[in-house]
Amino acid sequence: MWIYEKKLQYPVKIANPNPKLAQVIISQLGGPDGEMGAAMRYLHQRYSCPYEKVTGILTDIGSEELSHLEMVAAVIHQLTRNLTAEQIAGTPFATYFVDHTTGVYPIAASGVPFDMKYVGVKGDILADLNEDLAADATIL
Amino acid sequence: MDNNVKSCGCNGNSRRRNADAIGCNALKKRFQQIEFALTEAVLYLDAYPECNEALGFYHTLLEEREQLLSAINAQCGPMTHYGNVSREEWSWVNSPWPWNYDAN
Repeated sequence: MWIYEKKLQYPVKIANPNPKLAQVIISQLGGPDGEMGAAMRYLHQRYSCPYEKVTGILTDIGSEELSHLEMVAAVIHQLTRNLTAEQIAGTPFATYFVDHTTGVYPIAASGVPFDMKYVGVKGDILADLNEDLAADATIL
Repeated sequence: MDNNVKSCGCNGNSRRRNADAIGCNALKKRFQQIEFALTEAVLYLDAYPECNEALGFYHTLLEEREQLLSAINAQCGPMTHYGNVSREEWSWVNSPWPWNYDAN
Protein backbone atom coordinates (compact mmCIF):
# COMPACT_ATOMS: atom_id res chain seq x y z
CA MET A 1 0.00 0.00 0.00
CA TRP A 2 1.07 3.59 -0.20
CA ILE A 3 1.87 6.24 2.34
CA TYR A 4 1.62 9.81 1.13
CA GLU A 5 4.11 12.40 2.27
CA LYS A 6 2.99 15.99 2.09
CA LYS A 7 5.97 17.09 0.03
CA LEU A 8 7.17 17.03 -3.55
CA GLN A 9 10.17 14.87 -4.32
CA TYR A 10 11.86 18.02 -5.66
CA PRO A 11 10.67 21.63 -5.37
CA VAL A 12 8.52 23.17 -8.08
CA LYS A 13 8.45 26.95 -7.98
CA ILE A 14 7.16 28.61 -11.13
CA ALA A 15 6.83 32.36 -10.77
CA ASN A 16 5.16 33.18 -14.08
CA PRO A 17 2.10 31.40 -15.45
CA ASN A 18 2.55 30.37 -19.10
CA PRO A 19 -0.25 28.51 -20.87
CA LYS A 20 1.82 27.85 -24.01
CA LEU A 21 4.39 25.96 -21.98
CA ALA A 22 1.67 24.09 -20.13
CA GLN A 23 0.26 22.82 -23.41
CA VAL A 24 3.57 21.17 -24.27
CA ILE A 25 4.57 19.95 -20.82
CA ILE A 26 1.24 18.22 -20.25
CA SER A 27 2.45 15.29 -22.36
CA GLN A 28 4.85 14.46 -19.55
CA LEU A 29 1.75 14.00 -17.41
CA GLY A 30 -0.62 12.01 -19.57
CA GLY A 31 1.14 11.36 -22.85
CA PRO A 32 2.48 8.08 -24.24
CA ASP A 33 5.90 8.60 -22.64
CA GLY A 34 4.72 10.37 -19.52
CA GLU A 35 4.86 9.64 -15.80
CA MET A 36 1.33 8.25 -15.63
CA GLY A 37 2.28 5.53 -18.07
CA ALA A 38 5.54 4.85 -16.29
CA ALA A 39 3.87 4.43 -12.90
CA MET A 40 1.13 2.19 -14.29
CA ARG A 41 3.63 0.12 -16.23
CA TYR A 42 6.02 -0.71 -13.40
CA LEU A 43 3.38 -1.08 -10.71
CA HIS A 44 1.39 -3.55 -12.78
CA GLN A 45 4.32 -5.58 -14.08
CA ARG A 46 5.48 -6.44 -10.56
CA TYR A 47 2.64 -8.87 -9.79
CA SER A 48 3.79 -11.53 -12.22
CA CYS A 49 7.51 -11.01 -11.64
CA PRO A 50 9.29 -14.18 -10.48
CA TYR A 51 12.42 -12.46 -9.10
CA GLU A 52 12.35 -10.75 -5.72
CA LYS A 53 14.93 -8.11 -6.52
CA VAL A 54 13.15 -7.15 -9.73
CA THR A 55 9.80 -7.03 -7.96
CA GLY A 56 11.40 -4.70 -5.45
CA ILE A 57 12.78 -2.46 -8.14
CA LEU A 58 9.46 -2.38 -10.05
CA THR A 59 7.59 -1.51 -6.85
CA ASP A 60 10.04 1.18 -5.80
CA ILE A 61 10.50 2.83 -9.16
CA GLY A 62 6.75 2.63 -9.82
CA SER A 63 6.11 4.42 -6.57
CA GLU A 64 8.71 7.03 -7.41
CA GLU A 65 7.02 7.60 -10.78
CA LEU A 66 3.84 8.50 -8.89
CA SER A 67 5.80 11.20 -7.11
CA HIS A 68 7.08 12.39 -10.50
CA LEU A 69 3.48 12.49 -11.73
CA GLU A 70 2.78 14.79 -8.81
CA MET A 71 5.67 17.10 -9.68
CA VAL A 72 4.61 17.42 -13.32
CA ALA A 73 1.06 18.10 -12.11
CA ALA A 74 2.49 20.80 -9.85
CA VAL A 75 4.27 22.33 -12.86
CA ILE A 76 1.04 22.38 -14.89
CA HIS A 77 -0.89 23.75 -11.92
CA GLN A 78 1.60 26.56 -11.34
CA LEU A 79 1.85 27.38 -15.05
CA THR A 80 -1.90 27.86 -15.33
CA ARG A 81 -3.03 29.06 -11.89
CA ASN A 82 -5.07 32.25 -11.76
CA LEU A 83 -5.21 32.55 -15.53
CA THR A 84 -8.36 34.07 -16.95
CA ALA A 85 -10.14 32.78 -20.02
CA GLU A 86 -8.95 35.89 -21.87
CA GLN A 87 -5.30 35.11 -21.13
CA ILE A 88 -5.74 31.58 -22.42
CA ALA A 89 -7.80 32.40 -25.52
CA GLY A 90 -5.70 32.22 -28.67
CA THR A 91 -3.03 30.06 -27.06
CA PRO A 92 -2.69 26.34 -27.83
CA PHE A 93 -3.92 25.74 -24.27
CA ALA A 94 -7.38 27.09 -25.17
CA THR A 95 -8.71 23.73 -26.38
CA TYR A 96 -7.65 22.03 -23.14
CA PHE A 97 -9.20 24.88 -21.17
CA VAL A 98 -12.60 24.30 -22.76
CA ASP A 99 -12.95 20.91 -21.10
CA HIS A 100 -10.77 21.24 -18.01
CA THR A 101 -10.28 24.97 -17.29
CA THR A 102 -7.30 25.15 -14.93
CA GLY A 103 -7.85 21.66 -13.61
CA VAL A 104 -4.98 19.23 -14.06
CA TYR A 105 -6.03 16.34 -16.31
CA PRO A 106 -3.72 13.58 -17.55
CA ILE A 107 -3.71 14.10 -21.29
CA ALA A 108 -1.22 14.35 -24.12
CA ALA A 109 -0.36 17.61 -25.89
CA SER A 110 -2.21 16.16 -28.88
CA GLY A 111 -5.42 16.16 -26.86
CA VAL A 112 -5.60 12.38 -26.40
CA PRO A 113 -6.40 11.53 -22.77
CA PHE A 114 -4.06 9.13 -21.02
CA ASP A 115 -4.53 5.66 -22.42
CA MET A 116 -3.54 2.38 -20.82
CA LYS A 117 -2.74 1.18 -24.34
CA TYR A 118 0.61 2.96 -23.86
CA VAL A 119 1.44 0.32 -21.25
CA GLY A 120 2.47 -3.28 -21.90
CA VAL A 121 2.04 -5.92 -19.21
CA LYS A 122 2.57 -9.38 -20.61
CA GLY A 123 3.07 -11.49 -17.49
CA ASP A 124 6.44 -12.57 -18.89
CA ILE A 125 9.30 -10.80 -17.12
CA LEU A 126 11.57 -10.69 -20.18
CA ALA A 127 8.85 -9.18 -22.34
CA ASP A 128 7.95 -6.74 -19.57
CA LEU A 129 11.55 -5.68 -18.97
CA ASN A 130 12.04 -5.12 -22.69
CA GLU A 131 8.89 -2.99 -22.65
CA ASP A 132 10.49 -1.00 -19.83
CA LEU A 133 13.69 -0.49 -21.79
CA ALA A 134 11.76 0.73 -24.81
CA ALA A 135 9.54 2.99 -22.73
CA ASP A 136 12.20 4.61 -20.61
CA ALA A 137 14.69 4.96 -23.44
CA THR A 138 12.30 7.13 -25.43
CA ILE A 139 12.67 9.81 -22.78
CA LEU A 140 16.45 9.89 -23.02
CA MET B 1 -5.03 40.34 18.49
CA ASP B 2 -7.94 38.62 16.84
CA ASN B 3 -7.18 34.91 17.07
CA ASN B 4 -9.11 34.07 13.96
CA VAL B 5 -7.41 36.48 11.56
CA LYS B 6 -3.62 36.37 11.47
CA SER B 7 -1.29 38.28 9.16
CA CYS B 8 -0.25 35.01 7.51
CA GLY B 9 -3.87 34.28 6.59
CA CYS B 10 -4.14 31.11 8.67
CA ASN B 11 -7.60 30.44 10.03
CA GLY B 12 -6.54 30.38 13.64
CA ASN B 13 -5.89 26.65 13.89
CA SER B 14 -2.20 27.09 13.23
CA ARG B 15 -0.14 28.36 16.13
CA ARG B 16 3.04 28.73 14.13
CA ARG B 17 4.70 32.13 14.14
CA ASN B 18 6.76 33.60 11.33
CA ALA B 19 10.06 32.61 12.95
CA ASP B 20 8.89 29.03 13.12
CA ALA B 21 7.82 29.23 9.49
CA ILE B 22 11.38 30.03 8.43
CA GLY B 23 12.56 27.05 10.44
CA CYS B 24 9.95 24.94 8.71
CA ASN B 25 11.17 25.88 5.24
CA ALA B 26 14.72 24.88 6.12
CA LEU B 27 13.59 21.67 7.85
CA LYS B 28 11.40 20.64 4.93
CA LYS B 29 14.11 21.41 2.37
CA ARG B 30 16.63 19.27 4.23
CA PHE B 31 14.02 16.51 4.58
CA GLN B 32 13.45 16.65 0.85
CA GLN B 33 17.19 16.33 0.20
CA ILE B 34 17.62 13.44 2.64
CA GLU B 35 14.70 11.51 1.16
CA PHE B 36 15.94 12.13 -2.37
CA ALA B 37 19.23 10.46 -1.43
CA LEU B 38 17.36 7.73 0.45
CA THR B 39 15.33 6.87 -2.64
CA GLU B 40 18.56 6.36 -4.54
CA ALA B 41 20.01 4.25 -1.72
CA VAL B 42 16.88 2.09 -1.62
CA LEU B 43 16.93 1.48 -5.36
CA TYR B 44 20.61 0.59 -5.24
CA LEU B 45 20.08 -1.77 -2.30
CA ASP B 46 17.20 -3.46 -4.14
CA ALA B 47 19.74 -4.51 -6.75
CA TYR B 48 22.68 -5.06 -4.38
CA PRO B 49 21.23 -6.06 -0.99
CA GLU B 50 24.60 -7.34 0.24
CA CYS B 51 26.45 -4.06 -0.21
CA ASN B 52 27.55 -3.04 3.28
CA GLU B 53 28.73 0.36 2.24
CA ALA B 54 25.34 1.19 0.75
CA LEU B 55 23.59 -0.12 3.83
CA GLY B 56 25.78 2.12 6.00
CA PHE B 57 24.92 5.09 3.79
CA TYR B 58 21.25 4.18 4.09
CA HIS B 59 21.40 4.11 7.89
CA THR B 60 23.22 7.42 8.14
CA LEU B 61 20.47 9.02 6.06
CA LEU B 62 17.75 7.25 8.04
CA GLU B 63 19.03 8.67 11.29
CA GLU B 64 18.88 12.24 10.06
CA ARG B 65 15.50 11.60 8.45
CA GLU B 66 14.10 10.46 11.78
CA GLN B 67 15.23 13.64 13.55
CA LEU B 68 13.90 15.86 10.78
CA LEU B 69 10.58 14.04 10.67
CA SER B 70 10.06 14.47 14.42
CA ALA B 71 10.85 18.17 14.18
CA ILE B 72 8.60 18.68 11.17
CA ASN B 73 5.66 16.85 12.70
CA ALA B 74 6.04 18.80 15.92
CA GLN B 75 6.66 22.27 14.45
CA CYS B 76 5.28 22.39 10.94
CA GLY B 77 2.37 20.01 10.75
CA PRO B 78 2.06 16.34 9.87
CA MET B 79 4.21 15.02 7.02
CA THR B 80 2.10 11.86 6.76
CA HIS B 81 -1.19 10.58 8.19
CA TYR B 82 0.81 9.23 11.11
CA GLY B 83 2.42 12.54 12.00
CA ASN B 84 -0.41 14.40 13.69
CA VAL B 85 1.18 14.85 17.11
CA SER B 86 -1.55 17.04 18.57
CA ARG B 87 -4.40 15.50 20.51
CA GLU B 88 -6.31 18.73 20.28
CA GLU B 89 -6.51 19.23 16.55
CA TRP B 90 -6.21 17.42 13.22
CA SER B 91 -3.87 19.46 11.01
CA TRP B 92 -3.53 17.17 8.01
CA VAL B 93 -5.91 19.15 5.87
CA ASN B 94 -4.32 22.50 6.67
CA SER B 95 -2.56 24.29 3.83
CA PRO B 96 -0.07 24.36 2.30
CA TRP B 97 -0.40 21.47 -0.10
CA PRO B 98 2.94 20.72 -1.73
CA TRP B 99 1.96 21.50 -5.33
CA ASN B 100 1.20 25.13 -4.49
CA TYR B 101 3.70 27.84 -5.37
CA ASP B 102 3.86 29.05 -1.76
CA ALA B 103 4.76 25.61 -0.47
CA ASN B 104 8.00 25.42 -2.45
